[in-house]
Amino acid sequence: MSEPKAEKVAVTLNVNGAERTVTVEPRWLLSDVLRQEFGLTGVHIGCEHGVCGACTILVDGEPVRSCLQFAVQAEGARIETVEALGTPEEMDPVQTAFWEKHGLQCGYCTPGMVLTAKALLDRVPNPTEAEIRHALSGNLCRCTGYQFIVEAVERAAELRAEG
Amino acid sequence: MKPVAFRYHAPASVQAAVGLLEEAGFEGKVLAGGQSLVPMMNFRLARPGVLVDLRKVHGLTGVRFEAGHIVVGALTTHEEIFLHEELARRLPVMRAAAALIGHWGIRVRGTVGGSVAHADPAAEWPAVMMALSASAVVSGPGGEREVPMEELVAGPLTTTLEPADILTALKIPEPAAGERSGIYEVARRPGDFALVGAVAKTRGASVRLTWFGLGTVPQSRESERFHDLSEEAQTDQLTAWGQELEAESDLHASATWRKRVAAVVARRALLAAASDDAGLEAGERSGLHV
Repeated sequence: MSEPKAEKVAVTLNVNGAERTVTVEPRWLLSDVLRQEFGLTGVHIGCEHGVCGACTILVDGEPVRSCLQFAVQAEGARIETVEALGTPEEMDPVQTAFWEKHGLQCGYCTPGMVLTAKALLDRVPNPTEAEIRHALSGNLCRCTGYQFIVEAVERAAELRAEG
Repeated sequence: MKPVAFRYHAPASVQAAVGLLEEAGFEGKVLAGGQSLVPMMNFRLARPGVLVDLRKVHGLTGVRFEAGHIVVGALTTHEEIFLHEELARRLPVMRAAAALIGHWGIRVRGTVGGSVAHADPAAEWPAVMMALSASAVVSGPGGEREVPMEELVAGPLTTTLEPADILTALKIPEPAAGERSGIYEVARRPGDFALVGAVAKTRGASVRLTWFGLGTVPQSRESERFHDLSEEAQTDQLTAWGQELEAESDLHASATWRKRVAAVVARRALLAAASDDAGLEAGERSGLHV
């Protein structure tokens, strides 16, 4: 089977509030482009076939797998990675809650967890435990188990309510 | 874990997309939400030389209520179907089925038309559409036509669509008075592919059941007088159907197990059809969709 020559195309992406045009091969996954062209290494690559959720980003406010999308498809969309959330000095309430509740160990799944939790809280400010578990069911963690993560999301809802 | 190189097009109309697919021939592939195609490309199980992305084509998203039909645009995502209040009111099985598909991040991108055209034997939408006697609206080089679901799915991951055909919508007959439908499936974990599932459509004594995750394609059985039977005779009928259906063995379950469970999921799909939410809550209570 002949493979077409790798032609590059320009694509303008809106990432964490800033627009930038990058030159990509159409076959480049959004996850790889965010890491390698934008330097956003908070996009963690796990399984690369949509199972683990580690590469979860927000596209127009909704959680998606960045490994199941080509960068060229994301033109015109609003992309947020974990880097948009907070700084070590001033963390996002979701990040503070994960810290307080020990919602992470190795941290590999954490950006995906945090972003999915943020999307959930944006949609449902005060979710039930079942709603939290449902929302996070597409994000795998192999360290903590899920209990501390669920507690972290409950705590994040409190912190956000306190403002 | 990276796809091979391909040429990428994002045309603005169905006609332009059909033209590009005609040019590409068997090298071409339609890209909708990509939640099945992209993993296959990452694994290099699929190596299309030309990808025709439909994202810029207007009019392929959303639900229209026409006289006698409910028309669901091919690019409508599982999440949009799940959240659609009017659709859930008129045809609750659509919400219940959407809830069983993958996870949030998958439902946000994956589309109903993509799922039907992909024809995974374990997928919910081909079976739901078959149970509801829906047709696929298809645009191709010869214009637009409607293909009944039974004629669309030809085998596992195989449809009768030609290389330059694009599935643009699913046309579901408006439910008749008294018609109810529901869905139930068994999976190892929430969001996993169904090991066995069934969609039930009932009206009065009549029943139509469509199973998925069992054989290579969804399979249906009908009885005009099912609900006139005694409970024991109903169970016998469901067991007999389970035994006569084609079933596959794989890593996850044997054909023998699937045939036995087929009768159980059929019973639960019938209960789902009798409930107000077509099985949404039952799926959650069973832990299959927490």
